[in-house]
Amino acid sequence: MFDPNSIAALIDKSKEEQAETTKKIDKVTQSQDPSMNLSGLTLSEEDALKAQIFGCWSIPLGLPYNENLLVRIKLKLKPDGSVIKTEILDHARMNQPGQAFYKVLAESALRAVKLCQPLRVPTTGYERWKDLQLNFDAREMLEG
Amino acid sequence: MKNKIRLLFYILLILFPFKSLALIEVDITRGNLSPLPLAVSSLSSSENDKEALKKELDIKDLGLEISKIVENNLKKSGLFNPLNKDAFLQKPDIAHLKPRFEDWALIKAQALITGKVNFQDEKLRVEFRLWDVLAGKEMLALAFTTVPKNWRRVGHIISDKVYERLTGEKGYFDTRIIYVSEKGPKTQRIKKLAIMDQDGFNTKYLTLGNELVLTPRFNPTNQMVTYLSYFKNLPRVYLLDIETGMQEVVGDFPGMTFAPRFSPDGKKIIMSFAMDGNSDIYTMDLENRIVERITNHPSIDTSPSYSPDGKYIAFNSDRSGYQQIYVMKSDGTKVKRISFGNGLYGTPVWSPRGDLIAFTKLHKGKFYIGVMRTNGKGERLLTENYYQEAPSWSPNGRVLIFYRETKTNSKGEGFSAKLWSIDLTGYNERLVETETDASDPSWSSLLSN
Repeated sequence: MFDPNSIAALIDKSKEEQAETTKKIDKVTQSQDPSMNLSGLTLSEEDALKAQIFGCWSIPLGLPYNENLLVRIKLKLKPDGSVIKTEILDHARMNQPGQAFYKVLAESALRAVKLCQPLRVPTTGYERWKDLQLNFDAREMLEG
Repeated sequence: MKNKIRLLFYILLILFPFKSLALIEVDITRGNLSPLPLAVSSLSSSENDKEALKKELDIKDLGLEISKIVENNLKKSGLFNPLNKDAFLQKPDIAHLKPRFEDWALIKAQALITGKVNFQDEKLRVEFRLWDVLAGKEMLALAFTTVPKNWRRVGHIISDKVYERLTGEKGYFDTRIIYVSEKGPKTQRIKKLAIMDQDGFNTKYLTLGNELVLTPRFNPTNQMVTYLSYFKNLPRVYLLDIETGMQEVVGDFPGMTFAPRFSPDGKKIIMSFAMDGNSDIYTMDLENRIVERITNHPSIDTSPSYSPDGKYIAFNSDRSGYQQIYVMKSDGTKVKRISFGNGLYGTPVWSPRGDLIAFTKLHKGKFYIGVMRTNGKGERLLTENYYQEAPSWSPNGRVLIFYRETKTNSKGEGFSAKLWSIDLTGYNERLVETETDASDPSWSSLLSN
């Protein structure tokens, strides 16, 4: 029988870490790639990743357009771009009253990550991007 | 020593600022607005149950038929893309127990609906599950028991539950639409009150067509309807209980009477009528039948509609010289014009969500259905046509239904009146199938609430 609490429990599982297969790769120093931004992804790397996720994210169309529609998801990635772990950063908001739409939005973002994997990540510099945060914001799309 | 360590720390900090260790953030501000692909598996049932239900309802495979209702509803919403059943790899009964998610992901389904139909003790029991294919998880599981003849409603309720779980807002499928059924040539139309399920099934005619009927409107709190009819050429306001068929005359009103509509609590009706040749807005308390005048202005004030909290009323008036939309407090004070665009604005209808007002606009010989915020800002015209009017909101404030008439040709032929629906965003314009020509639609609240 349907139990809303069990749904929350199921969603919580998305936070659970799966078995991580560690794979050592050769580190790349900055000098080998002068265009690389030490603190993040280069613009072209970021664009490639964004373009991939844009295509995978089906934005739920029924969302209220006057609410905060930002879902932040922290990812732990394998060197090949597949996802080891996902964590919704504002998880508590999912079960707050009047925030049912947030759960729907968060689930759509998680689906996008799953659908897209392996993510289009750079072939080098794993240490830089093995932990990555995706900020899904539907406002622009729904207001536009 | 301590100072040296501190100095070393600062040097390291300068050489390797924290930023280099910061988590990389990528903003995803665009996505795919195409409908969500989902699979609606046929609801499974045992051969015995199938046989028994066939005897009871004369339907060969009820589980399949219910799944088609769900599929049809979700598709028509424009938010979902139900996949062709021919592509399904897993049988319905096994999928309902434990879907092989990779099979469903293979056909690009992001969600899956499975279910089971039983016939026990003369009762129909329908259970269904909604699965997130990509996460490999059950999102929702519910069961309903009812009399077999309610099977279409079960399909609508399942659609509502799925819609709500996947979009975050209530559905609008277990609802009905009341409208004026029209038949015959334009100059001699026979108009009857008709009601149907929102998907066009189960049409019933509620009046015989002897008298002209106009503007039926649902009570937002239950299944009562108010409408206008002409009795001996005088307008008369009626109340009709859809469940029992009981009709009651609320009153005869003088002159031109227009569009009675319920207050949000269902205790009053609000309408306009002409006293001494001047149309103003009045309310009538349905318990004590006391009529109260709300506007008192030499201009023509018509088409009142309450805000969902009952605190405000939107209406149209030509007090500025042209017909425009105004909002006032429900006691008639603080009247404020909110529409300022070119053309004439009329039939304002407050959204059940409270954030928008739908309206009809006439500009340069064309009719538009549009929405604006309650302060008049953010006007958006959703659809344009030769003649269309009377928008009515779905109970979740997502869809508008209205009617559209076609032009007659030089011989006076080709006239038709049809119901159409359109999404709040201006997408997904659809013809709503009706048995006859139709006008003046009004959407009910959810039956299952």
